[in-house]
Amino acid sequence: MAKAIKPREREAIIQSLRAGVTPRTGLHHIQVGRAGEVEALVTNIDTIIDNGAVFRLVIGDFGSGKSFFLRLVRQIALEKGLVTVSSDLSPDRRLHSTSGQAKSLYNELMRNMSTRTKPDGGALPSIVEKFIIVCRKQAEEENQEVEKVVHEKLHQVEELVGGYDFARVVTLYYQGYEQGNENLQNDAIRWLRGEWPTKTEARQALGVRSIVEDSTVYDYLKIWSLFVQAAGYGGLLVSIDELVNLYKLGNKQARVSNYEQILRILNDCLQGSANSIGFVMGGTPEFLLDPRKGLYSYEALRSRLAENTFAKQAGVVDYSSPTLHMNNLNPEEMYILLKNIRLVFAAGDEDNLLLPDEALKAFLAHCHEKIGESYFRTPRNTIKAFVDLLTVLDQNSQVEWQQLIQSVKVENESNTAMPELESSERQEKKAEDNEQLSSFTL
Amino acid sequence: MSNKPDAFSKLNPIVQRWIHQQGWANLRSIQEKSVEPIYNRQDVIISAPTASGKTEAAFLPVLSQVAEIEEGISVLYLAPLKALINDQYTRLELLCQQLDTELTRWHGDASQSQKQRQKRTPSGVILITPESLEALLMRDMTWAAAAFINLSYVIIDEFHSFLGNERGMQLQSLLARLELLQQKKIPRIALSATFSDTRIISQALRPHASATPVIVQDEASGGDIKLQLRGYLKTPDGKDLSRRDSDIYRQLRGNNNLIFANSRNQTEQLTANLADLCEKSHVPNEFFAHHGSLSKDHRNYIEKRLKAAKLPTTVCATSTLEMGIDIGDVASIAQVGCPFSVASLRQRLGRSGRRGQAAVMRLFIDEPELTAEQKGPDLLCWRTTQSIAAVNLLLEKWYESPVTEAYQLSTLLQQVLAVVSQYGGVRAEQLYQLLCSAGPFTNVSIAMFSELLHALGDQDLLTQMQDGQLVLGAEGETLTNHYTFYAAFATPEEYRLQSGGKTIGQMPISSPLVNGQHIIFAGRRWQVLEVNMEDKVVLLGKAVGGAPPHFEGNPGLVARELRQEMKRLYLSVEQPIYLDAVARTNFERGCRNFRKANLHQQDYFEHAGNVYMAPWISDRGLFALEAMLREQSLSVSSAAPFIEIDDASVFTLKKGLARVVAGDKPDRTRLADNVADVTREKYDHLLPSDLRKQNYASAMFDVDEAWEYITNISF
Repeated sequence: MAKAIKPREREAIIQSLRAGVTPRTGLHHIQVGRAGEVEALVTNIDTIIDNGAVFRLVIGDFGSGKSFFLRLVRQIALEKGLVTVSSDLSPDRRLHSTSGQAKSLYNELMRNMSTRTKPDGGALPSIVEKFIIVCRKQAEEENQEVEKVVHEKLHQVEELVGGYDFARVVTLYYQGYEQGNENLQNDAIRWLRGEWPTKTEARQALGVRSIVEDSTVYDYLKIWSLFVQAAGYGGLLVSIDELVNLYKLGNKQARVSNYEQILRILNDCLQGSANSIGFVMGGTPEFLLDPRKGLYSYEALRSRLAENTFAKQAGVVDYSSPTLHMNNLNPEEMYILLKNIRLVFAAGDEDNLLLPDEALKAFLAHCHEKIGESYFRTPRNTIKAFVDLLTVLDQNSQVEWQQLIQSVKVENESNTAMPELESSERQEKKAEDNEQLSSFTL
Repeated sequence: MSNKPDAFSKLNPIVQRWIHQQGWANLRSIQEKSVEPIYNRQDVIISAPTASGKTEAAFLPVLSQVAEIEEGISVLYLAPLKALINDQYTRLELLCQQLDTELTRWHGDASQSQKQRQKRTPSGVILITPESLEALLMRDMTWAAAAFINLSYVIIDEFHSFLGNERGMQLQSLLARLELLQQKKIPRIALSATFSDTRIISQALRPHASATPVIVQDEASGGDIKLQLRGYLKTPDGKDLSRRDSDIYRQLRGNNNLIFANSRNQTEQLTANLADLCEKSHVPNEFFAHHGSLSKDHRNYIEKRLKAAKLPTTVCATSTLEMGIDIGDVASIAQVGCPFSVASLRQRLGRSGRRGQAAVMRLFIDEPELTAEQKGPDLLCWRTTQSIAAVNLLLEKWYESPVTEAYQLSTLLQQVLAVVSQYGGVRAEQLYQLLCSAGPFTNVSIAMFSELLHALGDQDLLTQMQDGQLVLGAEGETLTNHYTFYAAFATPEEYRLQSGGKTIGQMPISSPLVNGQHIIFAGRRWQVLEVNMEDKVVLLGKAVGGAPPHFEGNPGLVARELRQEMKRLYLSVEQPIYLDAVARTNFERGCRNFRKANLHQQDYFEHAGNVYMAPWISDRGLFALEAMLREQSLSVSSAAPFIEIDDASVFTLKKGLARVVAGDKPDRTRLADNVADVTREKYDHLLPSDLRKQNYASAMFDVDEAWEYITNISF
């Protein structure tokens, strides 16, 4: 029943898991559990294709698989013919700002714009090109001038905030395309990516009065959703991860402004003022629930995002609510996950496994002993350790797994925006400090 | 000097041309010597008195080196005072213009539009205060990361003023954070007054440095010094002090001078007295006050008037004018009241005698007249002796070193919150590494640091996320979002003093004012017309009479060497030639009483029912000793340079000392148990009480010195 896994795919999956990040490809080889969640999102993607709008907050603990889930959703969306844009939030990438952080988020989203044929980002120029091709084809069919079709198709876009200039830039791209003027094409693409630094420069080059700015990022995402549809795609999926960075903002004003932006998006999606667009955003429970700094501190959001109490009482999960609380994996699912990873190492060959089933059980028992229940609740670190173990066995066939398992280290680590201090002469001292403070709890 | 043509020729041609334009025949020695280490990107300490060309010694080679850098800020110049920044701006403006290097002032009162321009396109040299740099890192880390990408040098002016205090710790922490942000070492150049302890100052420039900084010192012996110490008697009728005032008036009027007093109160009183003398003689007033509480306008006016040198001006100041603010040539310095620090006396002296002239300093030292209820220490006329001792050490080129034992927890707390706010979330061990094990707070152990974090958590200043990261709590957010957070030192809440619609200064709330009260402020006499508690405004009208309001402040800690020199003077009766007749009498009287009290044989004497100890150790040693005696239930009070034990005899003192010595060396923190208030610095109140005690004890007690003293004397 197992399919062979290509060496390149195998390599990519292993490397990503070792680094504790989500693999870019081959997710289906390792995916376990969360059937309800996946199904709910599949329904959502269909809604987007039907011109609807979707808003989803994916809430789960650190390392519980949010990012994995978001990537899976993006993969499904791409398969279903959507365009996806994605980015993590960070101290300098926010939903709302006045000094460039929102624009910086937009830049990142545009860099990561993907389609089925370009799943790893950088798809923006090909989408614009596809739009032109679609227009040409239609012009041929209807025996019309191409530029006229372009105008017609962009008419809907023009009505939105910022849409007029967007349409103009796309038209300029078409003209550059026709005239073989690469400079003009490049300028237009740069504008669409939000990479013009000042309005003056943009006006000189393209004759438009506006550029993408902090305050218009969301407006342009809505424009994109219509545009990709006009180019023949199903719609736009915006996937934003690490919303916990908003929770971490030290300035209340800045945080509340970002929460207001989330409210605006939520309202637009629920009230139908946005079309063919879906927002899927990942955050931790404290980001959502903290009554003083979390989303719940903002009353208007709290009431809209509150859990379905009926479902809760009935002991079931309401997969249709805007907030999707990721169920933790259970030990059985964790076991299957390890089996899947083992199979990836064996390149899909059931007869070539590095470890017997009993070793998996021994490994899980060891992890349980080391870090308690979080070994399956927040699988990232467990998986990392497991992949390390398999790598050692893969490279040293003479080593017995029984010897290795006891020495496996499972860490509860966390990354911060602060660079790690690395200085060789202080390494030893640093290690000591780590021992004593890394498990620090208030 | 053999390398003379070499150093000059290494500089950028435009810089060379500028030097010619200044009409300088050649570079001064410190300017030559600093070129090479700066070009080698080493850490450099340039040490010389004020007005010896330190600024150019740093900036000529630095600007030559960065002239080609177009993108981003290439030089960061940090100074403790806004006024200093404004001065340096004027001084460097033309040179930077010729080099086409942008020069921007960045502090609370600097032009907003210039800052905005830098925000858009950062470039050139930024002149900034530590507080403004703190705000930049906390509020705009992303900008700072991009703007400082080509940062090549950090220049710190008046580096001595950053040693061993809150601002200095903050500055070191800021520089560590800046280097972490850029992931590279940025050469630091410190401009400092003369110092004696090379090790401590090197350590302060870059803690944990692998290489010692290059020290460039002025070899020239400095010009001549003309000194006079004039003695006075403080009598109940104040007659002799009026004589002092008229002496000052007579000797200083008609020239530009600086008068330094030890407190703002004294500054105010003296200025008012001198202004009165002008009025009595029907001549225009030329005496003005200058201290930290006065309004910016008032201070600017005085600084400009001094610099313009058109009208004779004498300014009565506190330590504010010790720093290198450009005030033009000053004929003489007057020091009223005895000096407590040799380094600060040197700074004060350095303000006169510019450009090859002799430095002139007069010390006006009063001693209490003998009365029946006089306290024991007054018998020894110690103020006169301390003044002579300070001058002696100054002539020997000895200066105090900063205290390095203090934990500085108040500033550590501020920096913890600042770093958490800067990055959003940080792990505990990252904080410890950055600030303590690889940072400036070297004395703080992991255990203390954890305790500090717990205390911050308990007060909701920090909270912890599920993955262990520390983030700001609700209280922490309120605290860090207020603009007053950026300063590591405390600024008391103040009244604004207004007259005729103009603000003339501020005054701490701690001194109550009532309607109708007469006060002296800005060297003038006023009557309080109205106190508006809500807006914290006091309206003043002109008046006659009045006393200066109470300002808080302490003269600083006295070093062991100064006390030892005093003892040597008492023993040798070695009289310097610069004393006037009254000062001589005072000094001789002190020495005579010293012998009479048998202090040449033992370190204690009885007087009027009290016992006094004279251990001739540093203030921190003295405080520790007091605390040890207090633990033996002796009623001890501070009477530096002595210890006073009330209602006691030599016998009880000896018994107490014996009990102390019989035990183990007392624990430093335990000694703080008997201190009523251990809150000293800005964020001390947020520390848990035992950390607060440890912090206080580390700063105020030198147990080793006290213990060494007490175990080596015979009693």
